[in-house]
Amino acid sequence: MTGNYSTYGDRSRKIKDPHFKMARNRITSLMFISGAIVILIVLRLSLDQWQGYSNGMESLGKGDYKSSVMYFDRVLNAHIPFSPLEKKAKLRLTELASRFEKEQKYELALVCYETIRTSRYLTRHVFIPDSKDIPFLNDRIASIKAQLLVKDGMVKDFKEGYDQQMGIMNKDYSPSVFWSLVVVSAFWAYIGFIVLWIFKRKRTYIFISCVAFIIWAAGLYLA
Amino acid sequence: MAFPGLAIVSDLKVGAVGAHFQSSSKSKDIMLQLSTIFLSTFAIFLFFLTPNVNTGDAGDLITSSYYLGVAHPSGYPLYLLVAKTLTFLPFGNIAFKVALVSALFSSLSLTLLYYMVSRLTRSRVAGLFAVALLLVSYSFFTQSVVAKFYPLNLFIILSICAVWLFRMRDTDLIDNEQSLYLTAFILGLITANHQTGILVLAPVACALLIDKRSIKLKTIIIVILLFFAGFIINAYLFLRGGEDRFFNIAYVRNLSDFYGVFFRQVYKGGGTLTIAESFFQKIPLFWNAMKNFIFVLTANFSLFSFPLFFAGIYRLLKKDPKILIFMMAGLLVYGPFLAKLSLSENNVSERDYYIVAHQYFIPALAFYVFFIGIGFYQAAEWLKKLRLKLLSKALPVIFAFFPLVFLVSRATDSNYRTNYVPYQFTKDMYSVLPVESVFLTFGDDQIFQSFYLKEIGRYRDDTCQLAAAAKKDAGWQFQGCNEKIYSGIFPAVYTKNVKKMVPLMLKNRFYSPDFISKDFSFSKYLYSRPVSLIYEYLPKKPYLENQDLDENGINRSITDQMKNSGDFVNYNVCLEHYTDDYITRANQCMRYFTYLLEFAKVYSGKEYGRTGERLKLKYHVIEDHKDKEIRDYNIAITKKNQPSLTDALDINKHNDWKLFYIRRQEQEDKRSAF
Repeated sequence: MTGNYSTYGDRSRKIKDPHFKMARNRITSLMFISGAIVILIVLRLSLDQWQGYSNGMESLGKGDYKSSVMYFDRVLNAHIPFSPLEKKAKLRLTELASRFEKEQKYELALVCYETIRTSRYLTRHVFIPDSKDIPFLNDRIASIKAQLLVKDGMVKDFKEGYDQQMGIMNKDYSPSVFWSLVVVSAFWAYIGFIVLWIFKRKRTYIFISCVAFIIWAAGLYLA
Repeated sequence: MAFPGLAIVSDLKVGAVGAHFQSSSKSKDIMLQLSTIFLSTFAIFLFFLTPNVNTGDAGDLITSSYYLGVAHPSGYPLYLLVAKTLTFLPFGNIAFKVALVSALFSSLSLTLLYYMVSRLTRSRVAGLFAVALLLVSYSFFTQSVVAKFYPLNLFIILSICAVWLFRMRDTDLIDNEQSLYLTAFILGLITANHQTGILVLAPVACALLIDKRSIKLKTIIIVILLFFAGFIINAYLFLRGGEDRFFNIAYVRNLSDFYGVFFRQVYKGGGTLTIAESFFQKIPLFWNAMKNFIFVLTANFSLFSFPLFFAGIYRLLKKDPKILIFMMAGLLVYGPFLAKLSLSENNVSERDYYIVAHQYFIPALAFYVFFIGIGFYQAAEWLKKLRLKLLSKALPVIFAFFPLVFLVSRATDSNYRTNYVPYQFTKDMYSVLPVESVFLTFGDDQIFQSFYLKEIGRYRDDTCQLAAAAKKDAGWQFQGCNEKIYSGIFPAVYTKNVKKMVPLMLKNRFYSPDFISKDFSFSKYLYSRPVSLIYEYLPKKPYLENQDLDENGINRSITDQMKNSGDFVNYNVCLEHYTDDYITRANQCMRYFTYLLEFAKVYSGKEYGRTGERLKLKYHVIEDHKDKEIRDYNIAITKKNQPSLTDALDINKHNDWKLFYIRRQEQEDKRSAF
């Protein structure tokens, strides 16, 4: 094989090259450190979830619903993707909310639904975890609020209150996730390539950092 | 390849048999040491890290980073961009992710400190001692486990120090031009974080003066260009500071706004330029500054650190005078100089202990520990001369880890892992609000924590949060009640005329976390009544015109709300935390305490079965770090209210604010006087 394809000999020479070795070691170290950081974070959050869930169940057993809502909220806020405890805590809160609704304790049901909804917004990253639940939660929250508004004479009828609340809840002015990702990526690229230029003095790096800056600025404007 | 966690252990073994002051030149070995230091310190910070929003500026910084908005002046674009990066992690809540910035950069700072000390002394043990000492120091530790920009600031400052230290030692790590370029770029960047960062220019200038190497014109031009390349990150303020953006604490629409925000001139007396000008005024205040700075050092490291500090100076004077001048310039500029600018009163207020003494001097603490690390090595050298073989080898190793004992103290005064108070307190206040209420918040803590919960968490979307920096401010801000969303529901609010908000008050729809005091801008027209955890605002006669206020109806409504609040207020959080955080203890938990007393009052009637005993107590209500009011309580104890009163007293005991670390003595004096 010739041309653009490297041969086994090329590759072995490359592997023996001290610069290549150093770069490979650095990448390995960075990957190891990043992996360790992620593991540590997950361990810490798992501990929070475990404590929150045990305390929540204990409070639930004692009939202390207020505290159980507080503890389940902690489980949801210590979000770990695919966590079984988080799923259980969400289920317990939903059960509590339905029960309060049946008992016509609307304010308590509202706190449960709002707790689930807020925990999902507070743990958003590239997307909102369990975003499929949001429409259901919005519907329940708007219904309860509309009923309370009617009771207090704040709106003419249920529909007016419901529409008003749905109108508020359906609005989301968060910055665009795509452009936000572009902004942070371009920001790090800008800094990284300037530092690289300082050490290596290759013109390409200056060019890349200029492009990164333009993308960063454009992203900030558009996000 | 050995597991990095074992590196220190193996190092210890080497040390124990007699080689702990050996050169560590192998780069792989160094990487292993640095990784170990970084990961182990990060694990410690992570364990104690705040689980959710913390007090102070955290709510503002977290919300601004999420929305890519502009935080309070000076805007902190660098911090916000770094924090925004971490918000994309798929773990935890956004406040936790932003707090990770502090843990990460504090660990990086400790790693750099280790590298600097161990490379200069060629002793791993000296490096370890410096790391352990700074790690457990109260102020540094506390700032490392909450969302704040000081750890990032420290890392940038230490990066510049590392660059110059290695350059002065003529190591092959960095050449003359590289160090100048890197410094210029980092200095530019630091202007986009906390402005005290720029003070690192002083030691750099000293190093350049000592160096006497000529610098080419081309190099100077590139240096200037690189400074601007870093400074240009501040363009963020223009790009995101417009009024059309959804969330901003400070607006940057033109150059004048930029000047006001960037130099913090909007704070008037507290502006960067105004403060800098004051340096040359009232020179005798230097004495106070020095005294206060030494107090900060002793509070963090105790008096026992001074001999090692002087031993470090002695060592550097003998071996590396250039480095001594460089690091001493850093210590002086971040210590006494900064204290003259920010902490030169004879009697330091509670607020200044909490905000200034506890936060601004983190770089000075790092510089101080650097000297102590070198001094530790010097002390070990002296010990060697005593020819007590075993002692001279074992003692340094034992002492290197000795500071870690103080982690136990940090677990009781800076253990933010269980501090859910700021989050829960804010949530509880919103939980007790009737649907479609206006909530007027005052001061950083109430405002910023509400922003986090309401703007990111969307908790109680139906409520409208207004914000006023101080009670005397008549102009209220609308970040928590964006017109785009709420104009249809709260039209009266946008008239900015309080009189037009009276109908909302008459429908029991106007509340605040704070009572109306004399300094409140509308105290002539409004009054407040405690309703569960919050206060309801009601109109006085001039605003009522010909209407009559149904006092009986209001009393009934307040009693009902108070009775119902028992299902919503989670005061137990105040018994779970182990922090001496001033706002947590003296403000939020004392509010829970007041709530429980008010709750007990509602259930103190004969119909609830009086025990014949009464609870009499008197206490200060603290607001904005000042004693505002003395309250008297004389409550008949009943079977119904007894548990609440017991809880109230437990909360009072657990959150007794004499425990505030940095001024324990004075608080004890104050309590005895009370």
